[in-house]
Amino acid sequence: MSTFEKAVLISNDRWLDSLPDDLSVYTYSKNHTRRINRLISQMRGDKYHRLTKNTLRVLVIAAVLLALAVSATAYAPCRRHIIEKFKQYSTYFIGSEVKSKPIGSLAVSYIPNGYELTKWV
Amino acid sequence: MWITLRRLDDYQAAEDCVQETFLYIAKNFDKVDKEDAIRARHYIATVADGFAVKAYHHMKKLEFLGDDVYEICDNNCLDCGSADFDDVGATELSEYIDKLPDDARTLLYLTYSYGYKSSEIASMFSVSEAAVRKRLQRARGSIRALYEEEQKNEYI
Repeated sequence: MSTFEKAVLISNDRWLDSLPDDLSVYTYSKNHTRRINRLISQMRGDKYHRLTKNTLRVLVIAAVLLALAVSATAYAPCRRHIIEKFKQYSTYFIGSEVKSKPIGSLAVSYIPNGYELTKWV
Repeated sequence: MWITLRRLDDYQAAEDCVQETFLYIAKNFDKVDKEDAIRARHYIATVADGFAVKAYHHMKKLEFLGDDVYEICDNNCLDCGSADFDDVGATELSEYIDKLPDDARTLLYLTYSYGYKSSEIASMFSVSEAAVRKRLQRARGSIRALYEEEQKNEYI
């Protein structure tokens, strides 16, 4: 350690010793206390995070709600609600995912009484 | 709070300074000595005083780390700023350091007591790195000039 560094340390210590030990209790403003509390809540462990614990909690809840809202479980109730509430303004289609087989040939298997088969195309 | 209030004499500005200090400490918590409580207290006090000095300069419309603040050295000491002080005792030298302007003293404390780099001080106070280096050099120059002036007076 050089002489200059020692001198700076001595000066720093002297300045710190000049600070009083018994300080009068200062009442911080509400705004200041709120900000400091927010700052403390941004500390997790020894790390500073931009988001407070509350903000993080709200974000997680929002993400879960959003995920549930767009998931398959929410789809049917939503559709039912829309159809019931806005039936005049909504159209809906019911389709099957199972593809129908192409029809090759048709055979008449039943003819009601009093009718007879005259032409077969 | 006492440190900032003493310097600024304005409750709102002092509270702002405390918040700024807390935010800085929170972001740089690794710099706080967790094993030595007294050193940690000293570090926080020095940082708080640094922010208070900056706020004071802002309030008085003075340039922080600028050349328009009170300068002890009246000649261009950029050359003697790089001089060593091996011919002077540490205690004697510390008395010259006490006479420096507050902003220069804060820079010296942060640099030599807490091992800050110029870039770290520059980002801490939102000033340029060159301004920090120049102020440090001028501070050393001022100390040298003070010492030489004292020697001259003793000789006379």
